[in-house]
Amino acid sequence: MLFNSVEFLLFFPVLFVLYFSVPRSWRTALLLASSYYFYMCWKAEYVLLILASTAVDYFAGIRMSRIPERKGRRKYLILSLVVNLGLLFAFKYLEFFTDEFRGLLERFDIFCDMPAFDLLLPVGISFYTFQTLSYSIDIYRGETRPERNPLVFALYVSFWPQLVSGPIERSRDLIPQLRSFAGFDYERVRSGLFRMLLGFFKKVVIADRLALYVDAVYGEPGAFGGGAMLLATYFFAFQVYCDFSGYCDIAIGAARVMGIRLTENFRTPYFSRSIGEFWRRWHITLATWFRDYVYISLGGRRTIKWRWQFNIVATFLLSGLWHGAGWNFVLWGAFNGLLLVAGVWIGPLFRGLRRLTWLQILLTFHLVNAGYMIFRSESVADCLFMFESIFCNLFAAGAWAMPLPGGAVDLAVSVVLIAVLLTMDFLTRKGSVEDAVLRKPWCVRWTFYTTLVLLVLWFGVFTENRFIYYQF
Amino acid sequence: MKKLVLKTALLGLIVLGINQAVIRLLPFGWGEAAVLEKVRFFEENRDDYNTLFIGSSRTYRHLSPELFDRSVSRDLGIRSFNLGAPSYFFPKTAILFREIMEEKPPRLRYVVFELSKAADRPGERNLHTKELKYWYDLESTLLLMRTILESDEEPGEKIRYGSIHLMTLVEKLLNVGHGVEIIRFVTEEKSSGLVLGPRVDGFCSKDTEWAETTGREGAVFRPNPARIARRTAESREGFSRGRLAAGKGSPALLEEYREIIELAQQSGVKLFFVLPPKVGGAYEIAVPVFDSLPDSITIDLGDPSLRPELYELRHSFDRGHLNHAGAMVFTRLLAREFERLVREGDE
Repeated sequence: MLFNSVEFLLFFPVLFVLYFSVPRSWRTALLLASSYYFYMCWKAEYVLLILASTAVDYFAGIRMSRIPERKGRRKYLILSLVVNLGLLFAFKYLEFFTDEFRGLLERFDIFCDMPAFDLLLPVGISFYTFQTLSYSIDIYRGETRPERNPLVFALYVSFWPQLVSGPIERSRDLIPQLRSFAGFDYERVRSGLFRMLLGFFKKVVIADRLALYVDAVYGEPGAFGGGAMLLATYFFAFQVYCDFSGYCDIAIGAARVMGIRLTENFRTPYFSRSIGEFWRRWHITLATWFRDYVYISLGGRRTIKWRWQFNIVATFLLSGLWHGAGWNFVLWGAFNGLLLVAGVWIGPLFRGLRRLTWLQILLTFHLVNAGYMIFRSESVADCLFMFESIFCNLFAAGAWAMPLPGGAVDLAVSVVLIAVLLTMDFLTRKGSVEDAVLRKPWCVRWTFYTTLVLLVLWFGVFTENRFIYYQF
Repeated sequence: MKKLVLKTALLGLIVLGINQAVIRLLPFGWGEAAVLEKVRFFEENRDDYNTLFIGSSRTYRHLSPELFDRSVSRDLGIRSFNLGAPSYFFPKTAILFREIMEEKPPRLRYVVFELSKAADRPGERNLHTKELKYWYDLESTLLLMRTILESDEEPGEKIRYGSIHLMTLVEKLLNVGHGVEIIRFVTEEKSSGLVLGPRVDGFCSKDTEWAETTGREGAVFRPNPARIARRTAESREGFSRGRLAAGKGSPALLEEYREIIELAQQSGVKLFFVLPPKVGGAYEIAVPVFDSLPDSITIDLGDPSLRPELYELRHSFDRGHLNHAGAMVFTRLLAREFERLVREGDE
């Protein structure tokens, strides 16, 4: 089920009423049933993968807790890793690696009949497998205790607001909240609903409107000049931000309505002054996951300099691959890792820039955009073509021609919406929009609510566009 | 919980109120450039006309007011304007008629209304478009839901179309997705000379438009004989099925048609219904309704056995429309029947 669908508009109010009507002891079962229903609306049989992942990690967690020394716990950790990463590999990467291997063999004139798997990628598999993996690894490391109530654990794996696109929650943060539920609290519910409204604004008004341009240009780069490509790349930066942070806002808001606090996933990332800072503000729960379970496991910073830099690049390579089975994602990961390493080497040369905050922000934003070109391109060849068009033919004749549907009005509306977003982010860069608004007098608050609702209704693109991060 | 429900309801009312104000500020027909242009033209020149034609492209493409005015006796003093527009079916035509009656054009005496079945099965690609949404109101939505319920569709399809109409009404009431369209409507001037036609009377034949848009003035469009023949057969089949269903016309449609007849009578306007040619299977629904209306206000130009000339290849443009020559034949036939009914009515 998509958040931006009619089904969700019915699902959420019904669940809301039921949730606050049933006794608290029933809420775990209610949320679990609603979470499975939420997932099964997309493809019912794929709920079996969630059940398998849940069963294995529940079992592994309980068994590991009974073994005092790490060595004895290892086999259960391996079981969890094999099952979760195995599912992820089978459904997300197998076809990619098979195709690449076949291509490699064909280069040496070796032709073989390999099976075509053609498996549909289960929505959210990268998110819930990473969430359950963190649970098993934490128990293995002795950092957390296993959950013995199978319903609570199953709900931790499948909690619907964050099931398909995060935030990736740690068991120590989420599980205690799923054991005892808070009652109805007007202020909290209001704040949660407001956060959801903000999320819808970002998704259907900004992201889906920008998608009209981005999809047109990136879908057929040969039909556009360097100027149109540059604009589409800037637009993509805001599209992907609004799409993903909009999803997280809806998830965080919906969970807050039910009294459950989810981790913040974004903190005004486009106001970052360096790539390192950007990755501390963008998709925070994934970045900390890779930091805690990959980067630190590789040795982190507590090693010799070249190994430390290798750890950075390796972590980002894996992070790129996590995003998708494609060379562009691998390249994007490597690009980010190398940017961080380059920052270590050449950063000291630019110490004088530290006072020029806006210049740093601008430079970081453009480096992030260069990465997005790799990330969004449909092939490496398209990406190279776009780089060439932007850097070599930006001022050539026709470079800024926009043969796009919608014309000037759509373009102007998109630019205004980006300005609104940046203003909101700038004004609330040290807090959150809802905190800032909810502190204001009632007339300001109500004007803001009404305007936001009207903007969503009037400027929303209601074609049930999927969230970009659903594909990961 | 009570506080939340009350405040949410209040916010809903404010939003609904603002949207109603926006809807009232927009002129009728804003969602369809062709209709708006014609309505505006008629409103600006309403003292010049005493007869109006309302209907779909089968009115827009087939009925030349200039020829019509010449074809009826001079003593009737007819000055007509064609308000037909592409895909303008019932209940859109009824809404347009009501809009015009509200304005009370002082010289208006006759309205020739194309009889069609209800457009109750919108196509997938039309959903969520301003063209589909702008005319929805509660009354029309209920009518469409009733015609769907009366139809012999499967229950699943009835539910699907019913919810489409309900959602479209909600989208209209809340102006869903209209922001950019409204800005575009306010800021961009959209006008096509073809809408009002070469004689600025609202008529533009298919051939004229084809020649203009393709730049092939003087060339002759060659219709596909197989498709024309197929449509003729479909029309024949639809007509005989419609005649078999005599007395079983859609009660919802009949009720609506009778309401607009009453409205016309109250406004002192004579209303005539014309059954157009070449609508194929749609006759199955349109004919029983047509047959239930009084003979004194109905003109049958659709029956292939009565009007074979309107189905001939030499008078056809595509399977659903006449060419320029066919439109002239249609206009003359309509003028003759119109005059006969007017005279009979006067006696």
